[in-house]
Amino acid sequence: MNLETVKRVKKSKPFTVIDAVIVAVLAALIGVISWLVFRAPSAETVVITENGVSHEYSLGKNAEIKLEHMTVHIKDGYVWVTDSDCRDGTCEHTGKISRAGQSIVCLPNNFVITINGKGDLDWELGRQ
Amino acid sequence: MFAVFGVFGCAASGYTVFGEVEAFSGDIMFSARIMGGRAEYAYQRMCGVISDINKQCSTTRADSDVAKFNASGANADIEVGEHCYKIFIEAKEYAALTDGAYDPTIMPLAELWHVDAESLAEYRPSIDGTHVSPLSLPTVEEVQSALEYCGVEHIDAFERDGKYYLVKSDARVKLDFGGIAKGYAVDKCVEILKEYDISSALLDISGNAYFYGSYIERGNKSDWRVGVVSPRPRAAETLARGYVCAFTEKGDASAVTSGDYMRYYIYDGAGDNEVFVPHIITPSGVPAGLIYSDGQWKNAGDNVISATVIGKSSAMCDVLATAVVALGLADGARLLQKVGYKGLIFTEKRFIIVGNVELYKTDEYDGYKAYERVDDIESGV
Repeated sequence: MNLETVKRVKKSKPFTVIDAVIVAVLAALIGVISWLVFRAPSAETVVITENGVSHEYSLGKNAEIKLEHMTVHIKDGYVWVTDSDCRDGTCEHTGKISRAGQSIVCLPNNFVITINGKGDLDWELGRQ
Repeated sequence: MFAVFGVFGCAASGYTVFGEVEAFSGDIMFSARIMGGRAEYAYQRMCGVISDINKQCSTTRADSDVAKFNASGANADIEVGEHCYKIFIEAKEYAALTDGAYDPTIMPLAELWHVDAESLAEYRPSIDGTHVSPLSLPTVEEVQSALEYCGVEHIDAFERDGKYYLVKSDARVKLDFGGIAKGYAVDKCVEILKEYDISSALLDISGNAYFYGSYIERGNKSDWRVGVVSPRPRAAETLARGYVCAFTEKGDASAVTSGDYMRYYIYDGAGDNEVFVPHIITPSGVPAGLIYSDGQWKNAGDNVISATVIGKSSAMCDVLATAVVALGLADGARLLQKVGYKGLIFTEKRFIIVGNVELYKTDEYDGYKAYERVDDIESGV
């Protein structure tokens, strides 16, 4: 490294506008990523997984989801299955689910419905 | 039919999960999560016991023992099933223990206030925010006169030749086991779990939860983590379900939450006087938190809006949760201390923790921070 180069580096400003922009963009990215990772889910969701493909619905919004092998009902915070075309009918016999962690399973059709809740609780009390 | 489900349950979490099925008439649901032992057999036995209790104790089935008793005249011996008899005996003890704050004979008052199961089915607000108001609320005189034939002293229970009987001294006396039957059923189910070598389980009959053994995750034992749903905003108006707090519980205990936001209706009074009428009736014959002033019923304000009770017997938790809402914060806390049960009691403004309840993740489940903590019962009157 010759003397000229050393002088040039010494003269230059320690931070340029571009540096500041890069720092700001990185900080924003870190912020967004941590928000995505750590934010509490806003409400319980109903996750329907069929042959490995998942779709998410809100437990608080009534819906009737017609699928190839069955119909999934979401009503007033409860989820249940009707019109199943498989022989054992386990999914229909499971009845209604409404709480985080509960699921309805249909092995013949490779199908799972799970209610995902907020946080890591095993149970909740006081829901009517 | 549960075999397939059971295998999946084991693969997923170790627990065999049985979703909610109707336990008692109306919308009282039973669900279970069971690990170890013969889960399917235990589940089927439990469903059988719950069904027997419902057949004997439902107030909405015309053929139940309780319905027959309620419709009977004075001094007629009414034969009832063993569950019905035992629940009455237990209920009578709890009525004495709580000085009448819990009373299985307030059915006439519940009907007068439209908070019996049938009326509530008609008047409770729907999730879309609409509500139907009853045309009127009872007068002070009507309440006073109904109180005369409420009280367990109006009922005699006896056994004769291996059969069980209830008899009332006044035709107007009626029973309602709504505040104890779920808890009694859970206690019976726990006895079944013991017979089938179950290592860990969670039972729930619409809010009467029982934590059997420790929670087991990947072979490791830990405490159960339980959230208490926020009593405000009232759940029927929105589906918003924040937690007011969460706590941990070692297990072999029941927990029950009762509150003024469950099973209530809105009465459209004169002017813009909207009255929230909860299903829990106090010993004075009036729903919790209501006062009579300026010629009409009004919400008084600082009543108990949520009471969680934790202890060994689910029937007792059920009864105490109701009694605490009826009694108010200070007297409710004194009652829990007297019987040695733990609890969390919230009013609109304050809360108190009775006994050694371990709050869980106080920064995450922090709804309780909006309430002022009362440390000393005597200052919480």
